[in-house]
Amino acid sequence: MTLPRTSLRNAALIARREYLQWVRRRAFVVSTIILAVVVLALSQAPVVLQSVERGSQAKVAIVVNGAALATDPVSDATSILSAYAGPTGATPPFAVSAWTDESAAIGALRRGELRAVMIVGRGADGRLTFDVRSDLSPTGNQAVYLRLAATWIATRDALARASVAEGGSSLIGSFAIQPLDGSAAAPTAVQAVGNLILATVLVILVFMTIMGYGMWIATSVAEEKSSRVMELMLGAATPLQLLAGKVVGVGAAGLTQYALLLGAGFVGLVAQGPIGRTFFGAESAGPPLAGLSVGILAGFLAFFVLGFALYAFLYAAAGSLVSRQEDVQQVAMPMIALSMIGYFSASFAVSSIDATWVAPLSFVPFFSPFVMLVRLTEGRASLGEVAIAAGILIATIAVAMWIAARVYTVGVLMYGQRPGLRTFLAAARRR
Amino acid sequence: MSLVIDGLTKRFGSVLALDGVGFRVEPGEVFGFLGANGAGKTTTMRIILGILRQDEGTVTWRGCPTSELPRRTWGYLPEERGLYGRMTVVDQLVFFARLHGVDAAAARRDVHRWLERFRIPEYADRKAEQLSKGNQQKVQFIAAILHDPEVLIMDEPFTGLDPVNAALLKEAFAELSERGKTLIFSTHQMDTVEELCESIAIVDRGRVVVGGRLADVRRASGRRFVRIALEDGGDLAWLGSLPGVTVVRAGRDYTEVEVGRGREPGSILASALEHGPVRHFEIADPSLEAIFIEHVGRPVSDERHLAAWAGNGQAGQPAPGAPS
Repeated sequence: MTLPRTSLRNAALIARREYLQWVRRRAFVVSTIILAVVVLALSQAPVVLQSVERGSQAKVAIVVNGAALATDPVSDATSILSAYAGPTGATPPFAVSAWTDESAAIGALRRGELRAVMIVGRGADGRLTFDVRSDLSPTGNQAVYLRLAATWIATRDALARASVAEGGSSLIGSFAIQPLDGSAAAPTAVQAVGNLILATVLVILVFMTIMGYGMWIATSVAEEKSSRVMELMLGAATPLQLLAGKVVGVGAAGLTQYALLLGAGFVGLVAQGPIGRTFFGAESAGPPLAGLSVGILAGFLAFFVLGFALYAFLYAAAGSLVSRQEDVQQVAMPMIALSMIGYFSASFAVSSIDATWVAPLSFVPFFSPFVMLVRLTEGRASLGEVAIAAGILIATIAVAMWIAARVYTVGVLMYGQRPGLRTFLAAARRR
Repeated sequence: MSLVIDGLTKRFGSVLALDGVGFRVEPGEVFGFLGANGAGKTTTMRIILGILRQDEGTVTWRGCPTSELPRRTWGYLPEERGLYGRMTVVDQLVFFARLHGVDAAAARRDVHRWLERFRIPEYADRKAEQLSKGNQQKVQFIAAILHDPEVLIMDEPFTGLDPVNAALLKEAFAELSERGKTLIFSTHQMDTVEELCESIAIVDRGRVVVGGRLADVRRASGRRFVRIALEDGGDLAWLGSLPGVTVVRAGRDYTEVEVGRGREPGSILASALEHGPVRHFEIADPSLEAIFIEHVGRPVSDERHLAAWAGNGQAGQPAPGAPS
């Protein structure tokens, strides 16, 4: 009909208008500022948590009762307990000291100055006995660490008494966890939990964008229709140009908001060190989203953009079917329902990634932006699978664009009709 | 090489909105498109512009099907006025012009020139929603012409304008027409058409009932009218009692009578002179109003146009041009 260059120019002009209109809205500015503040606050959470943990550093007293030990129990215990001091070893969770007076140590424990008192004795069979007085949970992590420390003290003592030279403070030459050759590293428990959180966050971002900005697109189409500016636009541009411009413009506004939030998050992470030192006297923590690789970020961006585009075209078509903005919600129901199914499927998939329904669902266009994103983040999808899902999604977008343009062409000139599925189908068929 | 509309039909569900509409508009003409609400004017215009697609029929401009013409050929002022309320007047006019490929700087210059002409330069940087309806209408007219289209299609351009603004718009019409632009507009206002148009088409229920050059349309009716007034403003209602004479309008300013075939208009003057000195005597072609009534069966303002339409139609179908 018109030259592609004209189409591109018009779509770009319309996108620019939509973008500027959207980012200048007070709602956009206010919500961005509020969210940025939230992101900044959240990015400081590790520092705050660390300083709280530091305050709860467990002071442990070791009292050796009569039985002379072959080695220094305090340094033995410290060497074990410091291994659990966290990624950078900034704040040791335990502080071990030697006490000679048992009753004084118990007194300090009562006053809350100590977290545990470990009384070391020697039994009739020559083995060491450990009598730990503490309100620590017997099954908690700290209790396990204390038991490990006790085992190490006993081992060193036994070896020394047997005159075995164990050369220094450790029996182990070295200890490292390596990935099996070639294949991706089996995620450690901590990393896996990190990926679960990451997958959840990314899926929520996609869902929020589709729901929020999709609804905005539908509303703005209905608004153009009810203000009758639509007909002026139709005199100047084709429905496809209008649709594409609107989707790109509003989508770009959404990306802008996320870029600003990411920026805030980045600033927050960089500032962690200085802020931690200034306000909490704590050192910087490790990167909290360690699982966020370039690949995952690229995949997220791709599915974010494609998923948004698919839903956005349909939202625009839906908006063209109503004459009043109050009716938008009703006519947007199918899209809301589809995106909710996708979102909830993905939420279930986060924790049960190996379920049989997850892989097939990750190729279904309306759900792949959610479910494939989870598989990708948890490292359960090959590059080929991701490419196929994206390909199916792109093909569906093309179909959705075509249908949306048809519905839109008819819809924007229809006034006073009851919105509903029948109207939708009739509009798509007609013209 | 004119704008040729031929055999357009368009159906909305069970409603036949256009039933073989056809007429032609010569380049450089000012063309009046007459019809009651729901007669099919807006639908025809939308089809010419490619906003709607016809079921049957063709539209060509200078021998070229409209689907192959660039959009900037046309300027369009829709009946339903609407602007982007939160955008400033300048911003959106430049935006619309750029959609038609006009350079932004040139568009900006033209916008200010036209706002000046329409006596609203101070509204350039106001948001559109702050403007009165009449001023918004002028802004929309500017939006329709900024890209200098060959053909300007306007749906009810005078509706809602006060006399001063209507005069400004007519001036603009004259200027555009002088520059060789083709102007097509729809209206209910017969006097405006008589004042501005060289050619017309009257549509009723999706059909062109009469069309062509206005002078030819008047002559073709074969009817003659006499307008007459006495010096002392005396009553002339008695003219109706003369054989072959029907009083069409008995006003204080003048009385209009239709003169039958067998009667000489001069004889009416003779009869009137017997009652005193005559101030005004005119042999006139039928007014557009009379022609409209002759072909459509009722005046353009008659409510029954809509009633007839609704009787045809089905609830929930779009009535083109009908307010929602």
